[in-house]
Amino acid sequence: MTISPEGVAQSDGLQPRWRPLGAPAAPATPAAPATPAAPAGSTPTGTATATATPTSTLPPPPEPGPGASPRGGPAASGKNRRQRRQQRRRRRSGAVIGVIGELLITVGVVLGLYVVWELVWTDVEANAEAAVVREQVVTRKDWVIPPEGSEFAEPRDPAVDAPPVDENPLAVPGFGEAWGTLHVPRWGPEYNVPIVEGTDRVKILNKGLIGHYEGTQGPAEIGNFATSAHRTTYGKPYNRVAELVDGDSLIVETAQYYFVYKVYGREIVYPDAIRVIWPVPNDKDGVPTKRVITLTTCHPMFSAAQRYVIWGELEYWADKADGPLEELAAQG
Amino acid sequence: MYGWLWRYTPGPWWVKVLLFAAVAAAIVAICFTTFFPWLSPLLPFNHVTVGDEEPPTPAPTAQSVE
Repeated sequence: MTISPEGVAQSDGLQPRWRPLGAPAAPATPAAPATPAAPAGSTPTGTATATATPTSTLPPPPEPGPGASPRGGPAASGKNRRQRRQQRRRRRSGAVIGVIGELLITVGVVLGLYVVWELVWTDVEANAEAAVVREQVVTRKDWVIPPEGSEFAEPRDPAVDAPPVDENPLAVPGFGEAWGTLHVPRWGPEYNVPIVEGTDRVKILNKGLIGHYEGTQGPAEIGNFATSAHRTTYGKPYNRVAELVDGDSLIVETAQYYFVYKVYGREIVYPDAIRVIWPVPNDKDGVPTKRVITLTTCHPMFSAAQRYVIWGELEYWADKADGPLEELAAQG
Repeated sequence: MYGWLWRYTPGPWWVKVLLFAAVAAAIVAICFTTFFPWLSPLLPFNHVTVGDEEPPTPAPTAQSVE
């Protein structure tokens, strides 16, 4: 650190200052208190920079004071050179450490930015994309808007009155097609997230949508209607999955019908546990008789070491043409 | 490193501040629009489906998968 200002001094700013100081020092009387101080201060400068100019100017003041004389002697030059080398080495290693430190700080800042992006910005983007898809779904030509002011839709028991799976034109949608929405009263009256065919992470789930596992059954079908969505990022549709208790409604709204499932079970499994979306969950050879919905999302939150799984069973269904669903209307 | 950049950035201090701010904003923008979206699928924090290890396109049917 002591050297760097001198390097500057040699180039421009300080050089004209100390030269005039040194020059009057030789002819001037030693009585002036400032003069001994000036050469004493400049002595290490001259030796450290090791150029011809400072050394040539330094000899003229031969009586700088007793303190400075041992340093300026020729015997000391070897020691000074060693000091200089040490200083230079120290300076270089210090610079390297400084650069490494700055790089580490930069990496830390970038990692922090990544967390902000992941936890905040993906929600912003995904919510916007999901809103667009929701608009597309509810403005489909075949999307029935329940008539206002009419009676509530009559709840129909699937055991007595089989749900219209085959008549539903959206029973077999193509990949990436949004064909319905999910309402979960437990997650608030506003909760209404589009369900899209497929569980591709980038194309579907990262847009704040609920993905339907391709190849699993459709809504209200006998078997397993399996879905997946993010829990902590990208709009986090299944963020509050752990709040669901048995008996909570999971309402799948398609173009013409409401399908109301009731939560009956949950399990935390490892990611390879594809058994949870079998037609009969956890029973490979079972013959499906129930109409099951499955929700899968990551667990624990902010990790993906495991999966949180919720199961529900179809309790009743209703025709949207008959009127709004009482459960949804009651929420406001 | 940053000291070196600061010293070799031309102009008065406020020009340097503006330049540094512009470059920082550009880097953040590149991160948010390109780098992080590319990075995110490679990290295991966002996997929500079961059977993640399967290739995503030929989706397994519930019956056929082990």
